[in-house]
Amino acid sequence: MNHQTLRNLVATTALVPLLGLAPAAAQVIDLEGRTVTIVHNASPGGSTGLISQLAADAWSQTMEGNPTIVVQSVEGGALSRGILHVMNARPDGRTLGWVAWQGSTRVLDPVERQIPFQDFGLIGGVGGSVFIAHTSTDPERGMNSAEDLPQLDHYTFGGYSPRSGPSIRTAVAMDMLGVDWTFVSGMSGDTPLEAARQRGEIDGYPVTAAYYLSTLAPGPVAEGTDIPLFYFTAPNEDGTGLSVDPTLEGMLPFDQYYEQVTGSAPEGPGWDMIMYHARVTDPINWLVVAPPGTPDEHLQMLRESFAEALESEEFLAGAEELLGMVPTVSYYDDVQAIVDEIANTPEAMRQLQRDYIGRMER
Amino acid sequence: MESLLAGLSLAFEGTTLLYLMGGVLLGLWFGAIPGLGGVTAMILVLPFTFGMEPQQAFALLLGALAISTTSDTISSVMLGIPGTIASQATVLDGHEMAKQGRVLTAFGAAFTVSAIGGVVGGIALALSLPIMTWLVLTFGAPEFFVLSLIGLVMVGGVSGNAIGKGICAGALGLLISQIGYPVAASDPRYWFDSMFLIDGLPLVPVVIGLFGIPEMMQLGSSGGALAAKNFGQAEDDSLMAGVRHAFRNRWLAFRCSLMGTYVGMLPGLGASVVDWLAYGHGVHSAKDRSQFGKGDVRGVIAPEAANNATLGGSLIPTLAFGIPGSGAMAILLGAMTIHGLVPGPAMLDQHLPLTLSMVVCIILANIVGAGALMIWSRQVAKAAFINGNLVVPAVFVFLVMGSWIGQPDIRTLVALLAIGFAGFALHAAGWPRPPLILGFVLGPVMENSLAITAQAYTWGEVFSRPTILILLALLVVIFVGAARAIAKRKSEFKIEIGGAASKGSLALSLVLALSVLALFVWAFAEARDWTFLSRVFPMAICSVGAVVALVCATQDIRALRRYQPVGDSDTLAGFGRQHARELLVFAIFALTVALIPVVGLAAAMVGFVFLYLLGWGRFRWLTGLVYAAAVGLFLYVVYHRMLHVPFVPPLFLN
Repeated sequence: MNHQTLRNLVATTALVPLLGLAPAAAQVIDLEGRTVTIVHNASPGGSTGLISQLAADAWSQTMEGNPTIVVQSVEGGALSRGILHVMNARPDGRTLGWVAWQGSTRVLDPVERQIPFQDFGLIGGVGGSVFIAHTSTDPERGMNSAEDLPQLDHYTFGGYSPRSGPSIRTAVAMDMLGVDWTFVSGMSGDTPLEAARQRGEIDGYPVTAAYYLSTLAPGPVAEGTDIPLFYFTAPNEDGTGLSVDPTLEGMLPFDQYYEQVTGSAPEGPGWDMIMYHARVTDPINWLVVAPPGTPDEHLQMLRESFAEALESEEFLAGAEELLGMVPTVSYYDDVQAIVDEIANTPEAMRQLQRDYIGRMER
Repeated sequence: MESLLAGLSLAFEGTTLLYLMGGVLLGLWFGAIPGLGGVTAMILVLPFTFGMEPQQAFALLLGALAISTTSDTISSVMLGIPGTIASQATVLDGHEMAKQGRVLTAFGAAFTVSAIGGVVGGIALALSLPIMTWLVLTFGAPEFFVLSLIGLVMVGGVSGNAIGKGICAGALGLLISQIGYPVAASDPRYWFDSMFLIDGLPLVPVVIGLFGIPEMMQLGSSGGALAAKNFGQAEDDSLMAGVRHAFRNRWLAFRCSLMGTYVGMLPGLGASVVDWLAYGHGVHSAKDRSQFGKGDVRGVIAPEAANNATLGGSLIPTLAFGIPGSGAMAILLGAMTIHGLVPGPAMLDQHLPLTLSMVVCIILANIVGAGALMIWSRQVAKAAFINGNLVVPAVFVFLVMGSWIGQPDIRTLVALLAIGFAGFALHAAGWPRPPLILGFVLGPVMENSLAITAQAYTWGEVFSRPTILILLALLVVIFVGAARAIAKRKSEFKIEIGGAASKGSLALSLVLALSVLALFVWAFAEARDWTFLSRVFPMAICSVGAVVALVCATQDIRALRRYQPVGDSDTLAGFGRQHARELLVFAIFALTVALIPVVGLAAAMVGFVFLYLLGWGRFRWLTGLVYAAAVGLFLYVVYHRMLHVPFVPPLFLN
């Protein structure tokens, strides 16, 4: 092989990747006959895995090329392992993410552990949550109704980690109401927490509305052994307070409850934190993303087909059966706004949350 | 009675039965391959169950799960590698039996007691239905902590006559379990700024690496067959001999089955620890312990009876409360949710026939699966007498893929090799490995329950709980019994301790003792600045571990001083030569893993098989080609097409 031939070969070889990339940057990737993997970051069989499986079934009907879509669990690392898996995947349309993200508290991590969510190709978000604070009935301590809470000497509540949005807000709410509190960590999920409450290890915990409506309301609440206190939701339409959830009859969002028991509207840094989480934590449980660098036109196709899939009756019916309620679906603009707000969280808000986490950890 | 009949009719419905048998077949297959297991089989079929009737879905899922803890015996006995996490303890005596040409006896005993365990677990589940909620609510965090302590005391039972080294290995396992996020704080521990370690070391590479890699090093270096004797030499070896052993030890099997049921009921403990507890019980309750660790059939019967009974137990918190005690139960819970079933009183009232059909499915799966394995085992047993170098390549591929499937990261394989090398060193130095696994498995449960107890209870509240007082009394009884046995030197039996002591093994043991001592001191110092609940457990482990490691080091120094070499080759150099070929096999494994990022996972595996057979096994190229092609096909069909495992592409395609 002479020198010139070698140079030509090297030059041709160098062009191959360029030829491969050039069209991809400008057009929708052809997925016909391909397999697309949706990576989720929780254990198989849980609500994250199941809802992403339902979405995969619906999405394969609407995505261009009708690829086969499979769901893969990459769990661990406090949810970060799956997120990083998608972050580091090739932007070839073959890998997507359906990730429980906890962006609002993840921003508190040291810089080296932070995840730049804004770098993802954002597609949408699913599953807004409502969390209800509740407590065991305890006549000996004077706890007979929701209005008795401010007179309670101490409230012990449980959760998995001090870093979860609902747990931090519960602590803030108790401070605003003047109730001394203790946080018990290490209990993951509604059912272990409910077992711990029934064993008397904790007084209550921020429970998801789905579990409250399916299990607590017809069970302990109806039997009079448990009392719902107030709930945290997304902001109301004008952004001045929390929205009212019509499915939670007889209960008030925290701001209205606070006004009812104290006679004044909530204010101050604690209330600001509750509203911050209402804006950035509650609207989205699962972020749906493509790896950074995914071509714009392909992203646009993904956003449109995602919207079509998640509005399908088949998906909505399955999701309602799974989650106990029809999940809210957020689209690109709303998701982008949330990701941007989290990325620009003021230092004072970050510090306030760190202070609370510090108090909750022992 | 009406509900029972309805449950039976649901389970025996034609289609349900068909799905159950399909699940059993899948479970048999997945349980037999190290690193896969029943949970992977459940993950595989879960999406298909969405459109089924609930009883069909649960028949398929439970069939796949129930029998995987029976077929995992094959790998434990034949290869010395736990087929699943539930059959770790079976390795100790089961594999020794295989080496003695008593494979069929081991299988006969294991499959019989597995069926018994499964049936007892199913019946216990049925009988516990009315008191399910009470059972779940009785055991709080303090009870879990004391139960874990009882489990830890069993270290004595799985340490043979090397109690000090056993405690040290147990403490090492506990310390390794502390890597990653703690329960009550948000800063990870001992993670060296590596995302791979942020959640701790994955379980599968630790378990299969600790036993599997050293076993393959040994098999590859010996060049012989798995069984040391010829098939014909073990004259009394037969399935029926195993069955007779099982019935002769029926009370041991029954006690261990009950133990399996009730430990299985405790979320987080379950199958991963119950086989060790049962093994420990088998040892403690035996009059003659001299054969444990050397191929005592009771060392197979105890864990195998217990691990099949755990499924019935673990269904109790899942059905009663929706508390999934294991990954498998989380999947089952997911299937319940998708079928609109809510765990709790409704499962005992409105859906009682369905609940009872699950019980029937578990019992049926265990009986049918054990029967099928009995028939199949004669063929499997012959594998013990084939050339070991034909076994090593396929098993190494299974070990790699079994680790990879849970966490597809090259560092997982580095961990597999590192743990494997540690397992080899421990074995060569006369340190028992089971306590390390026991510590590793129990560590998170103990820390979690300790942290919750510390946060939610006062001392007075803990010690006023009747269940705590009963469990503490039990702990004291077991501890005193174990201490007395040690004092009377009743435990003069060896478990997992390779060969007789030599100058080299004593020197290696000393190096290990000093290394773990340094590790404990370093880990203690690291923990000083952490929050109270983050540091209290690792510091306690390090304190105990460091003291015992110091004692072990002192004993080793004394033993080395008194040691009289046996022959000219009993030197450090001789010890090195004795293990040189094993280290060469390890180097081949390491090179294969190192090449994965360059040539890709699939090519590295297929290439390894081909080159190993040609270069190390001295087989003909055609044999290598056919074998490598078969492995490649298996990787493609099972791992790529069925399980959607992400393969690392070659560097030039990445």
